[in-house]
Amino acid sequence: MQRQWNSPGVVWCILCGLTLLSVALVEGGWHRSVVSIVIVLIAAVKSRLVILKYMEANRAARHWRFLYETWNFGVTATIVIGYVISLRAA
Amino acid sequence: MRCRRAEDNHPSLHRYDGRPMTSLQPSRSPGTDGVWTFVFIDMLIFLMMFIVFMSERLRHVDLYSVSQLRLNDIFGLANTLILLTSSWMVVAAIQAALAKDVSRVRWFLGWAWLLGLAFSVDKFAEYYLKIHAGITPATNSFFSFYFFITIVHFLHVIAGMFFIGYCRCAARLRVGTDRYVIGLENVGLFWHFVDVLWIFIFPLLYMVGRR
Amino acid sequence: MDADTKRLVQITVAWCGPVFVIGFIIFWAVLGHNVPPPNMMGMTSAQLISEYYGKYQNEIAVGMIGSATMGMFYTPWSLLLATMLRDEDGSLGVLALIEAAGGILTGWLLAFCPAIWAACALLATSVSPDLIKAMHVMTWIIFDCTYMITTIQLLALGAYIVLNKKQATFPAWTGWCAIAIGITFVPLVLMPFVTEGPFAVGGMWNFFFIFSIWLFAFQIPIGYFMLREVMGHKRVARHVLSHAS
Repeated sequence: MQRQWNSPGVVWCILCGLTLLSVALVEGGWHRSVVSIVIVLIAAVKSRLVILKYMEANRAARHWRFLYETWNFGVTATIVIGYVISLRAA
Repeated sequence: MRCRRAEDNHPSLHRYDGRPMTSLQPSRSPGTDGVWTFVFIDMLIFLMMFIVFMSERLRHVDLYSVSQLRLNDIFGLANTLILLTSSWMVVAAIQAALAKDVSRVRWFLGWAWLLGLAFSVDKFAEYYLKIHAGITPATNSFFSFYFFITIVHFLHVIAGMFFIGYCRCAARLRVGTDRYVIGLENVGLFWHFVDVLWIFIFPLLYMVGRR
Repeated sequence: MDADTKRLVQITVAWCGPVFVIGFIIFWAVLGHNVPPPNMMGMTSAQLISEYYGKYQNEIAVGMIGSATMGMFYTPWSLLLATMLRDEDGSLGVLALIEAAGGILTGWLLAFCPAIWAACALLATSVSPDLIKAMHVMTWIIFDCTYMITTIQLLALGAYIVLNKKQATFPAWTGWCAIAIGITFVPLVLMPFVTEGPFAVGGMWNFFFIFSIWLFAFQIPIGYFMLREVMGHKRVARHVLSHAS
């Protein structure tokens, strides 16, 4: 069962589903600021899936997994924090 | 009844159709340290781009919001789905290489390359429409970034297509060797990195804050 | 030349790197009022004189003449670096020669352009503002848009480090860093065409980011490993610590 969930095909389905969800949220007319933060968090989840399942960082040396996941967090934080500050400045 | 082996429970040692891999290397990390290093440094450069972009956006929020509306998110969505599918193809090619299946390696790498070509065509179409509408890197700060970030990413896509093409050509002679698998894993690392970048570039440029 | 004297010469030349970094920051950046440089593409000639050359005339003149001296410290440092990029047979291969060529041309540029800016400062109140602006803009375009001379230096250095598995002077990550830093200069091509934003002459990317990573992320680690090589591993720590105290 775990092997099936780890299948690259299943991962692809999840990634595409999350992508379509992001676009649906933006086009759906919900509250702009909430949607913007949610889609960045979705991107972080997608990125993590690719890093762990496709790049196989979970099989690489531990420092690589740490660095790549930290980068993922850093990019997400940069966009979210930058966006939130822009809301307050506007 | 077959005795269970330790590797039976290790998900990464099985093909994704459930059959065990023919090459058992439980302790080997994918790719080589050099490529992990290079990709990480490249990731840091893009992180700097994102930081500079968000910092500039703070100074010109209205300009960035209005300019963003001139981007067509259908192009961005198509490119995201294309790259995700292409990444899947590369993963499948690596699995085929571990199984020493030359024809499947070439099949999957062929599709990965064609999807890279589709991305390129989509990108050219988008650039053509922008320039035709009078939008260039000199139009304003947002479009300077739009062209800069996407062109640098696009150059990575082209480099990745070159590597994938090379691996496909070399597959006939080299599949079955450890060196080929490691090389293909390195190419896969780079290609997935290109995919990860676009996963963030798409919302950053096309969607965050979209009215 | 005996071995001790040769080693002394190499150590002296290795210290040209830090001297260049500190000297260029003091003279070009601080005295030259280049943090950031005036946004020349978005200014009129009269504004360039009133807000920059006319306002800080003496400081800019002194700063730029000092920069013309400090800039050339980059060249001997780069040439010492080239001598550390030897092939297995001891000869200087093509990558070492490209690195050396890039270092020589970059050093020339770092001296030549400040000399022209010094002339702009000294002539600011005696010639037409349009002429001053033309000289200023032309020099900045030469300074920025010939970035490839430094890019090829960094790419050659990076390629040598990454491809030459047997060399032990520079760790592999410094090679990848050099390659990445060389490539980040490419957006300088946008500088002449934009009047604001991160790719303008004083923009966050084309000025702050590029100069910062070139001066600090390239020169400091490479300079450290060069010093370690010429001084020996154990000695460099003692030397650095004794100077710090």
